[in-house]
Amino acid sequence: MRALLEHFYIIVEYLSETDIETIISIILIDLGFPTGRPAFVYLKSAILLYREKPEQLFTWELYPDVCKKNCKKSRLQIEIAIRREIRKCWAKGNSEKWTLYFPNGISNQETGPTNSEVIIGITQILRIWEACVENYKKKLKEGDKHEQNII
Amino acid sequence: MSKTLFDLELEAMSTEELENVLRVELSQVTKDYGRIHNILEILRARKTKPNRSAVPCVTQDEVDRAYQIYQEAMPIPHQKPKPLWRMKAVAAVAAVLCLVLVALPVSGTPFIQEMVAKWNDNIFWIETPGTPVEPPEDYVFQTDNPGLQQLYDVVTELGINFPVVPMWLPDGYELSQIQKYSSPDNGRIVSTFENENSEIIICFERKDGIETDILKDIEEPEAWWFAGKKHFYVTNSSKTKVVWITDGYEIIILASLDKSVMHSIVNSIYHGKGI
Repeated sequence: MRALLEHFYIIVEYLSETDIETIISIILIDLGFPTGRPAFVYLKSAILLYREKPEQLFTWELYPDVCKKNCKKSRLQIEIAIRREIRKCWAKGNSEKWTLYFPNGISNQETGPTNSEVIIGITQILRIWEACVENYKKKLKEGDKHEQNII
Repeated sequence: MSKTLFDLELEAMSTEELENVLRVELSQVTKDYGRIHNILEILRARKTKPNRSAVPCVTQDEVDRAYQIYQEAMPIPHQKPKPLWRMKAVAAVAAVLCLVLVALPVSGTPFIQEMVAKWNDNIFWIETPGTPVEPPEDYVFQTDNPGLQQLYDVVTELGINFPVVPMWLPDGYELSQIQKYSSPDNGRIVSTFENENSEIIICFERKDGIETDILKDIEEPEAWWFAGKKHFYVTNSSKTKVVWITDGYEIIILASLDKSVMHSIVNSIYHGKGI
């Protein structure tokens, strides 16, 4: 957890005003997901939708919403595309970054995380990011007040 | 990730220039996330060098708060990997069943053909003929009844190789007639053995797509296993019949005898005379 926070604190000064979609994209690129593939877009949409409405069912609510938002493909095709991309990235990606973003570990070390593990995990990480941003802005305000006091 | 010329250009820039480029990229409507990520990686690498003191001081309170946020969020569901061995076992059983149902009839094993006997309340019939089978190597036809010997010679001329003629009949039964009905479609031999009170009819009929209906009463047929084949014992009032198929021929033994005597007659086809 400390390593993740340090990772965020380095970049929070640049990305504190950025939209959450950019943060999700940067996290996914960090984990090794290529930006040019449709699964990148599906995964990003799924994370954004799950963030708005947590505890929804993946197969019957989340994937159909991703279908409506992105393309005319079926929920099964969306699920398969995301699953395949996660497995590829797990196999070829940076294991240090996976350990950084998932400090609690992955259920299956051979095949990699499941779709729900990645989507829920990144949703949790976004909450930590928001806490970092809040903390950074708080420190900035305290710093400004301190300067004003000095002046 | 492999470095492009763009990345090399970025690495050549100073930190301030990189920060300006990053601000421009972040302000775009359509962002190049890959480039943004590369810039952030370079900035992070520069800031974490030992000479630079830009590593932020993360307090224990911040770590605890972040961990609390992490725990309060939805727990990651741990899914057990599917037990593949079960799926493999089901697939193996299905493959064996397919082999039994499809491959055995093709190979000529009579087991499947013998399973297609049918009956209703009035009629018993066997729909498909049996496939040719090889006679056992130690088979020798030996009988004391000259009528049976005569029947055996006629049946052998017909080309039936497998044991089909009984080697024993109850005492007193003598051959009265052998009728041969030969045609392209229906080769039939009907032999009649008579004693003072009753008769035993042994009928051989070629099964070439022609079905014979055997009258029966309401009782269920009983299956007797001999030489790996089912022989069906069918009752019809006072008459009893044993019906089976071998070597493309349907054999019927019709008599007014007890079940045990009928069983002995059929048994003598394969195991010699005597009860």
